[in-house]
Amino acid sequence: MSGLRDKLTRHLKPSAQGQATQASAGGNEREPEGIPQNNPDAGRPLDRSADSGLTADGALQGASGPGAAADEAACKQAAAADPGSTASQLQASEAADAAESREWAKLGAELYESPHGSFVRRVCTYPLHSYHGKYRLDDLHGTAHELNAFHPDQAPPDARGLLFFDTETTGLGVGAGNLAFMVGIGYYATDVFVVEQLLIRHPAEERAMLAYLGELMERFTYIVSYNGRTFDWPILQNRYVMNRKRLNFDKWLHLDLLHPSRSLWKHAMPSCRLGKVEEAQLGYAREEDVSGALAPELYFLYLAEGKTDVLRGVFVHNERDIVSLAALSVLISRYLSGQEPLALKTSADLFRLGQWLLKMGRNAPGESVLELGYAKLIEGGGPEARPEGSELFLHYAAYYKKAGLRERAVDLWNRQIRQAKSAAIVPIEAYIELAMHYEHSCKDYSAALEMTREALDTLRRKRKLLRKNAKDAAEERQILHRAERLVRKLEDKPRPAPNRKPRKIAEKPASGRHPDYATSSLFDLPPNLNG
Amino acid sequence: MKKKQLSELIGTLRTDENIVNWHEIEPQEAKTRNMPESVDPRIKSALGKRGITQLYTHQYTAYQTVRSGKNIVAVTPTASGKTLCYNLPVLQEIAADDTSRALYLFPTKALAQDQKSELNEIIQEMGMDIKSYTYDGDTSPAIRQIVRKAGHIVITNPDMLHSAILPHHTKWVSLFENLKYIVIDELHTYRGVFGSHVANVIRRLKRICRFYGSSPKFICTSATIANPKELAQQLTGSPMELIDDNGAPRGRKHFVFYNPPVVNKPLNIRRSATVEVNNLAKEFLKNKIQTIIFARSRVRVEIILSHIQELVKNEIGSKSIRGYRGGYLPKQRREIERGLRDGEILGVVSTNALELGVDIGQLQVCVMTGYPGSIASTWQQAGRAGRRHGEALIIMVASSTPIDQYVVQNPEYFFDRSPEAARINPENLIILVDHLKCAAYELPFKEEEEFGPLDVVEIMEFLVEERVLHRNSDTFYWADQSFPASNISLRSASQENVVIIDQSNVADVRIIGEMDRFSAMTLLHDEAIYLHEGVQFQVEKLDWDHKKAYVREVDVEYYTDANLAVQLKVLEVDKTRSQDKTALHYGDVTVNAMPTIFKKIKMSTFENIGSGPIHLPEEELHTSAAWVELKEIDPELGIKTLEQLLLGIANVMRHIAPVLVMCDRNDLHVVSQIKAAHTGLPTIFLYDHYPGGIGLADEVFTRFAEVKRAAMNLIQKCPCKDGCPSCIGTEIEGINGKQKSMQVLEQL
Repeated sequence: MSGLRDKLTRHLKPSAQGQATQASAGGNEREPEGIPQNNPDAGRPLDRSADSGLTADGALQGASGPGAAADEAACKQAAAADPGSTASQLQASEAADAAESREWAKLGAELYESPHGSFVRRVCTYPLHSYHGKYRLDDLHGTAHELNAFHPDQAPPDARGLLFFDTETTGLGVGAGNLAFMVGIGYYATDVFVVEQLLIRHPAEERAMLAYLGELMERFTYIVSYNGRTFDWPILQNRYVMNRKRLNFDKWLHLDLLHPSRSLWKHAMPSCRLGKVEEAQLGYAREEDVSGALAPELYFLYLAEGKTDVLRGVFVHNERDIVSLAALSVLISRYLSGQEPLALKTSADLFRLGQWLLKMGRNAPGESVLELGYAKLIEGGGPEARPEGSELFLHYAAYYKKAGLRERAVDLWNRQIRQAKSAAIVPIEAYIELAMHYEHSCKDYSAALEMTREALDTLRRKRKLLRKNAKDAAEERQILHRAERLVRKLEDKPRPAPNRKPRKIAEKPASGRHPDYATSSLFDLPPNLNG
Repeated sequence: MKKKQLSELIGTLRTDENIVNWHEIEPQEAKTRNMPESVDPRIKSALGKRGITQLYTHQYTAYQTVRSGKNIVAVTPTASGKTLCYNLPVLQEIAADDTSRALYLFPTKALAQDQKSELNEIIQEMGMDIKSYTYDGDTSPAIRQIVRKAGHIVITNPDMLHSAILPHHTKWVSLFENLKYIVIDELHTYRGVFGSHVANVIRRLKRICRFYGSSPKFICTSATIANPKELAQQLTGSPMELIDDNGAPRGRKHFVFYNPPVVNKPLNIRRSATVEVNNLAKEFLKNKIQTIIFARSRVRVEIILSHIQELVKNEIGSKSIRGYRGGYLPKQRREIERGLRDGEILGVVSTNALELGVDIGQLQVCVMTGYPGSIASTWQQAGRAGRRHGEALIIMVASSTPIDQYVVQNPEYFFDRSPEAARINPENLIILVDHLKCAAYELPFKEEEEFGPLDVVEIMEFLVEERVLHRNSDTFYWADQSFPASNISLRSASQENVVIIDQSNVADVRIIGEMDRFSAMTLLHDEAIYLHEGVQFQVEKLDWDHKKAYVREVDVEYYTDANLAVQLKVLEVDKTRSQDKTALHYGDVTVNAMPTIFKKIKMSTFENIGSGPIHLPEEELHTSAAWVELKEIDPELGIKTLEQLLLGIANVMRHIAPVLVMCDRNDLHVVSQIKAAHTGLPTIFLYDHYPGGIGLADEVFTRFAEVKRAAMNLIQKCPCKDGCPSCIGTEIEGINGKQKSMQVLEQL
């Protein structure tokens, strides 16, 4: 009924274009430039073992081999035959299937026939001694049990019980219309590390893929992901519901490496995306990677036009993500075991690592890491030497104060103050901590008062430079309150009745004095009052 | 001063010379049936504790019909115990089978809150562990989890259903697998654009239920409209049984039309309705008779409230008169309700917001300041007055607007005809396609599936071309990164709305609403006076490029009226009714419109007190229209005269048509052309304001005879001499316009 079509065009495509139609249009300009292909004759397909020291990278299947020419000939032959006969139709469809298989083979993938239907599967294997950046895949065998720090009341994992997991989806969010068109999994087999990628050529293949995945997942106890707990995993659950399959998702324990990554490195990195962590912490730099953000567009492009090549970059990116997860697990478990060399770590890194280890229940390694970090801090010369890094003194001081090592805390507060003096930094917190220390631990009220006065001076100098705000005003009141208490203690006066207003420090200066200096009797005390 | 009884005051009122019409409605005894045997004893006892031992006939019929497996729509006037029509079958089902679930839909959060409270009270009395929760924008994340997994009764609104529940249905498996009943309350509010959207949302809901294997039954309640069964069937796509044997008792009701006296004869100006209302209300309140007063805007409410409080402050405290506005929290409403029950609160002054189902108890007198806009609304407001026993009085005080005058002077129009029909057009292409996208997002769409009467496969194929969907064999899949529900508002039909930003308080600038582009041209131009929920705003700047209108609250004595230069092109003719001299058509049109100037018109006198230009680009609108054409011109009249007469008639239709098809004045536009583009004949067009049409022009086509008669009536009864803004306008002079207009109308 062309009338309806006319109406649709009229109503839905006025001169100002709607949003929905923009989505796929941009795909063409942003097509990836293609991964450099290896010599087609190099090595067996899917094998990464060309060189033991090499990083497992980019050795994709080359162009089709000698079989291609024969297939093409068969195709032409089929086309030339009488189109009406079923025999030739069968030949034609077989030839078409063969052609499609070749296309997938170019990407290192194959059509997988399962009892429930077909989908595309791509398998890459890595020799266990392969490195990804600085980390060797098979190191995990020795340290995987450390990962029980994430689930202390469960049996500790071994490397072969871990399933590394990352999906590529058609959109963001966890609604019913967002599907995982590619599921990437990785696991340790006897001699190799396997990366399996399951791709559905269209949404109808999802059933078969999920059935296969479900069976495969049964072999594992832990799921390792990056941001999977709030994204990939719930989406996968949705997909099972959408396909009316029941699966008890509580069977698997989750290891989402995004969280420890943030704890460990958020201070040092602007973004904790897997790619960035991979580069900075694992020491692996990807070449010509197709960003995960492009995956949906590329898949839609493939759906609309059927060209398999646009998915090449998506496969490679996902593959790298999986291997990256394994390498990251190696690093994290090495931290937990104390095996990871820390000589090159900054004191800030060590502080966060130490704190994280304590949080994960690794007290002994945690404390020793913190000790190492402390030593570096005291030594000086690191980034903490810069004024912006002086916060670290406070962090460590707080830790030692809580741990009962007061002398260290005091020393660190003083250090921060000393360092801050050389720059326009405001070490108010350090002064206050010292004031509290002198007052409560040493009963040295005059020293405490001195510290309080310094705090007040510092605050007022800061307030002079910046706009007044309520927080500073409140802080000032608190400092004054402290000062007053100390004065009372010094004068040995009893506490006043509760609702008496604190004695005001006059703002108005006496002649000649700078307005920021308080003028009440409180600060006219002789400087060296010693109780 | 001795307190007078209502009956006494009614007697006095009868002699008032401003009463134009007095209509008495006979009392009705309660009609009850015994509580059905099948009702669980725990429910019986809980109801018993609330004083309910028998059911009214309509509650009984509703219960039995629902239990027999049918969908129902129960038409109930206010305060007739409609909630039991749905709560009883639902609670019974849960009592018998603990896995049962129900979904309650209310148009607003306030209503939902009210019902939740009442429901929870009954559940408590029952002593059963039935969990009922509201699920809306205010529900905290922690509670959301619980509601999804374990709530027996989920109370929500269509907007939440559309944007949160349906697109995430995988999180609601327990609900959808076990859904037995869907309750739709206040069915009559689902009309126009909103109703068209909701009909599609319900289609999506039904799809999802089918997917999870449930086939819930619908229980709807509606106020009195002309077509409750038709609306329910259109909205739900399912056959419906009508339950209208109202058994609630009713005392005698007096319905009085009051027309303030003329104070300026030549200009035909009457005394202000507000003043009259104040005086009338004062009488009742002084005698401690509980009264509710309705006013059309918040500003009016405040004015009336303060006047009355002043008037009665010596006899009764001013605290005993309360104001009421839309947006009051349940707590405040409980307060007013309690006060009315205790007798502490004697009077309530309210905007039309109180129409909607909210229960504040029953009063004895209802005074309406002006005609509420539709017959259905009038009965709803009137329904606020009327105890089970004893007399009740309803007074409608007319203002000087043409419609008000028409209604009070034509009581048969009001009492003899049925209330308006509520129209929806779920097949409006823009709305339909939006929801098809959402549907495909929620569940892949199979070729053989139906989604309304249109052939949606063609639409699906169109969307595949647009690369929004992907087709694989017989199924269409969502193929876009975006989340379709997020850009769709259920309360508007076009895609690029103008956002209305209130900058009265520069420290707290906020968005107060949205309007479609086409309306914005004439309602939100620079300097326009815009009415929003009864509050006046003036548009300080319309940023057309960014679709933002900046407004500031004002209180002025005029309104603005914009002129639109319109070009109409007929695209398709779907229906025709022909006579020898005239023909009536219905079909699709393209309207090219450009606003030209606007006029400032004084509210009380309709004087033109100023004007200004409007600078906005031309807009194009594709919609449906009904048009009537004269096949030949009466040679006696002449072209010039005819042109003026058509203008006048169009003016009349502009007043009267919206009343008949139950829509806002701005929803239906009327344009006259002495020489229509497609025929060259003199034609009057009436077109829907919404892209794709919303069913209004269709209604005009169907009821054109009524429209014509009402127009003639209005002209005839208008007391002006030769034309006034209330009828054919003042642009025609000296040609005996009124009579000639009648002649032309006669021919149609």
